[in-house]
Amino acid sequence: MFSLSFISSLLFSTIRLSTPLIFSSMGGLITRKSGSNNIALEGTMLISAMAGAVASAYSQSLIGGLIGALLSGLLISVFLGFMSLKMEADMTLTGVSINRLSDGLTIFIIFMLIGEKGTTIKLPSLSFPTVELPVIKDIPFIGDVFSGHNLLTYFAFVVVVLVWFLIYKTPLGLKIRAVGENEKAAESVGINVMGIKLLAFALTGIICSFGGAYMSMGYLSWFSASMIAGRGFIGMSAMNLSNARPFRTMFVAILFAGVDALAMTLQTLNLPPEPLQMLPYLITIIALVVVSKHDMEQEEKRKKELAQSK
Amino acid sequence: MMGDKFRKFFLKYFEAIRIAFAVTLAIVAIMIVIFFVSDQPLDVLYWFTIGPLTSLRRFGTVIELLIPLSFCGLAMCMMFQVNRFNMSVDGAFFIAGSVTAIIALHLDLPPIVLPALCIAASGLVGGCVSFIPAYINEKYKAHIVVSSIMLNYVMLYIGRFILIQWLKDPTFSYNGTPFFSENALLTRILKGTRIHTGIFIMIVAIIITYILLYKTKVGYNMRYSGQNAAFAKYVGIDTKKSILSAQFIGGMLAGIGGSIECLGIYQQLNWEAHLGYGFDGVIIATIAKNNPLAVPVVAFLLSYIRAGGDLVNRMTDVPVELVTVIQSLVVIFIAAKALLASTKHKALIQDAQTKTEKGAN
Repeated sequence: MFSLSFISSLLFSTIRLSTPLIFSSMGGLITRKSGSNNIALEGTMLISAMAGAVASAYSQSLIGGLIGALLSGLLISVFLGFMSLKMEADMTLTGVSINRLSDGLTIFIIFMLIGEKGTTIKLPSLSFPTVELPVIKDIPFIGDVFSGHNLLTYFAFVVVVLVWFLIYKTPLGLKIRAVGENEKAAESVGINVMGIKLLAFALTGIICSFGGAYMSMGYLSWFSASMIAGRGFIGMSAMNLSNARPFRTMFVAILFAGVDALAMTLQTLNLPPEPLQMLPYLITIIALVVVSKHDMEQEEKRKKELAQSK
Repeated sequence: MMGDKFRKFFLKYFEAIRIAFAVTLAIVAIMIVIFFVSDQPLDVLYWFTIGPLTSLRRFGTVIELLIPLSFCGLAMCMMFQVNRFNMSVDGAFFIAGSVTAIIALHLDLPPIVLPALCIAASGLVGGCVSFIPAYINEKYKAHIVVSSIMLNYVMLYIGRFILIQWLKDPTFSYNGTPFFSENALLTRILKGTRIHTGIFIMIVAIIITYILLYKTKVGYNMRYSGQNAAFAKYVGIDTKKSILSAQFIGGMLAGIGGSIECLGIYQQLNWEAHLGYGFDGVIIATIAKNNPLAVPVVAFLLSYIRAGGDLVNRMTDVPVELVTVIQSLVVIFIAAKALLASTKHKALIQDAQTKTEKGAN
């Protein structure tokens, strides 16, 4: 069972499954850096997954599908930002409502289009191609793990670098962090706080949409109802657990994906599937507890040291 | 601009007007869409608005749905009263079905005792479910929305495990337990509908929750811990205890609701996915301003809309998910504090101006 090919296929699916988690966590990272708490990553991904599958089927072009996905994700995310920032709606309540809205809206739209509620298998949707990495693909084991992934999977890792660069190395990133850390101070030096916050929602929408597009045009080649299955929330936890640092977030996302991959691989054995399906969610809760506890102890330690130094 | 009388009316009933405006806005927006995408928009309008009134059975579905919605609404009221976004109501409601099925299928007890035991056990388990995210949030500051939604998935797979690997009757073509014995069921009280005695339990639950929150010291402590934790702590309230117990009770209410739904309507366990009443609970608590007495009224409106949506689904080319879209838009519009705020502001200024003019005269 634990042969080399078993391990390489496990690692391969870990990378594959980390794609949506990386996109959602990177999306969530940007709004978090701008000081907002966006819990609608799940809904944003769901809407864009549906829009991508539908748009690629009707336009018969990958670019068309991608534009559809990105536009819809952008719209829904900016809508959340607008309602919570400009119209002063409670952000958590609005976010939860947007997730619910996406559940209904996606099914509503595909039913109006093709008369089915479950999936869009009927539609001739396109998928992003898989890429064989030159040279690497010929290395035994390493080639099996790292080569032959979907184009968007490789792009996910590029996005991690882009997000890191944006946040820490550009003037815009500096503004986003300034707004997130101290709104009033940022305002006093002439930063358009509302504009930056809305822009962060727009960026989050776009990044999450890549994750949605991957789910319906890569992971599967169709959309199915509630196909995101909590991945937006797991990505968000990965980001929260690593205190919104891009590379740490990526590693936590890969760890979560590893649990998911293990559960999926074990399901091929003759075991009851439910406890294994439960595993990724249970691990997320446990990780949440362990890391939050650790953070709190650190915080208390720092406070004590501060008190002593005084 | 506005007439004097109208302005006074507007200011007095501002909250109600705002809610009505939000509901209308959402429904009008979605109806415009329907007129474009549906071939039979007038039928949609008819079934959606008048449909549930066209027969006793159809109106019965409104009341049937009112029961679980009220319980979930009450549960969310408890969460929101202590200002915690604990979304575990779905999970508590769902796992209550499994608890109920285990007891109802394995114990041979007389009527009344058996359902009472099912409901009590489900309430206890539901409370424990909601307590988990509440506790890790209070103790370790773990993100409560994320942990409670993750917990819902955990409950989903535990429930499915119990149903599919253990309780299911293999002779059925679907995943379902055998039907419960007569002793376990809640009696149906109106011929031609599925309305059952659970409605009385619902009424009692509403009254108890109201008294608990607004007429006892415990409830007072809970509400103060939610509204202003620093102040509550200052006057010596054990906020942690209040916040935790409120969420435990919330989960209990959800569990009781799930058990009643299973015994009253389904009469077996065949739940393979969340029933999705948790979000309805969020809507109800939001509109009812977390007041238990307003819960059944809002729940009635919601179940009327849902029953209308179900009819639209069956009679026309528009799916029932229409309702989900409307509901979520309604919540967002109601939550938007700035909606109509400038109009209110203008009215207030005008009101003040007319008053000073009168004073000058």
